[in-house]
Amino acid sequence: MDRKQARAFEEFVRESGDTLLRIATLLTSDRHTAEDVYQETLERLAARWAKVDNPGAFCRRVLHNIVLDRARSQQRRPRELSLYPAADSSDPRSGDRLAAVELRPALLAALGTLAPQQRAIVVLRYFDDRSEAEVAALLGVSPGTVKSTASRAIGRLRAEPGIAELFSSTRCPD
Amino acid sequence: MSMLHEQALRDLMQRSTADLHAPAGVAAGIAARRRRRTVRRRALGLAVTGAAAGTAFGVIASGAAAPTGGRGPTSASQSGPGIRLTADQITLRHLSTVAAKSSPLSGRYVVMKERQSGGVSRTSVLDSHTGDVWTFQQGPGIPAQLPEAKNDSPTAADFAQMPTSPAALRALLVQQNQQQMKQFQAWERQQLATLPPALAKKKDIAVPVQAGLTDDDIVFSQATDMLWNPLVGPALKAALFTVLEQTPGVQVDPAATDADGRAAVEISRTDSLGETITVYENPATATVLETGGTGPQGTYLDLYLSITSTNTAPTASRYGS
Repeated sequence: MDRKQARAFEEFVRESGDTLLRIATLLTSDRHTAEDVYQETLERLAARWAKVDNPGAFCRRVLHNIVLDRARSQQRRPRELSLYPAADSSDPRSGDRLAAVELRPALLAALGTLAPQQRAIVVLRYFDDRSEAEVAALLGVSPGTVKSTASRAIGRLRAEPGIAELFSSTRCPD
Repeated sequence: MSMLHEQALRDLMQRSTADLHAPAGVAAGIAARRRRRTVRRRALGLAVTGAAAGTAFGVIASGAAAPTGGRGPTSASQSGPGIRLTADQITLRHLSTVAAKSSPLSGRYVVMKERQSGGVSRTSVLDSHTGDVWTFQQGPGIPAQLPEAKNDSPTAADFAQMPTSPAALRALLVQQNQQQMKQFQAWERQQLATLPPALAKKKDIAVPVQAGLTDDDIVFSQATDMLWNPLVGPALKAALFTVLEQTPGVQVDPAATDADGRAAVEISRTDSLGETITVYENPATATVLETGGTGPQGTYLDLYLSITSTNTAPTASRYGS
């Protein structure tokens, strides 16, 4: 990576870093894991910077791949039990941080009940606002799979006890 | 599923992550470390470029041949005993003598304080037993500790086993280069395996730009790269200077200054692809002051501000900002 490439890389991260971290958080259900995954993604991006045409798409694929890898390796290991509830604090730069911190545990727990592939489809489709075709291309599945998986996942999320009421209490614009 | 539920989920995901911000400085740290890797790999002759850059290289290689004649000797066989040495060779021979008399580092961990082009300050700690390398960055917004690289360097014992006769060492450097190429390609393949098939096209496996490099080119880049490493002992270091002395095309300025204004011996050579590698050595201690290069791929610079050793294992609080 030469100086010019380093600048372009840093510029990309400045623009997209927050979104990527938010996607990582939704995919991993854990803020600290999310920061690890986010950083690893950037490492992989930097390693291939000169050859990547679309860094945004590349990062979304890599985020998903890392989450998949981690899910696989965790299946082989007994689940670590946490003695303390995971601390989750908020970034003071944000205006509606109270809402975010309050909502987050329930949403992340509900997303955690989905399979990694389902979660990736839901997050890319609804959080990242990608079309069905885009999500399909990013994850290497058919648009039909994206459609059916997303719809099944929403049904499942709505049935989660912690999130059902959020669904009904969430204001919908329009 | 109804639009209402989709919209509700969209809204929930947005709101519940609205306060998350990417930590500052991560990208700068990664980029700086990447640049450093590129520098190291370049110095090893393992520079990675795309297919397009490879083509450009071909053009440059034919247009800008390495300087011939002039100051350096023209063949290795000329520099045996009894042959008049050039001023460049005398300087390198002197450095070799200084290196041979230097004392090896006493502690297990070697601490190098560095400054790189772009104003990045860092402390690297090398474990001479395992080859592990820790890098601590200094600067506002940069994480104090970067990940540790396992077995990133040969160990002091690895270096101690290398031959110190110039001919054998020269052969080893060429062979070492081939091994590094293979390792590097394997590493590339492994990186590609982590990507989805659409991105991981076989043609993407970087062919390090080595076509057109002569053995002399390879020997110079390998030797100067080893001189950088503080785990290289006195005898091997002395032998490396002798190898440089016998390599055609090497240019030496005994009264140069490094980028920090320190008195230095400048040793440089332009390879067949038009890339010039330059190293600056401390004339009194034969230790590295600066490594740098300039060529079709850009310029880079790494200044070594201090090199010390210790038996205390590195921690973030010890070296972090």
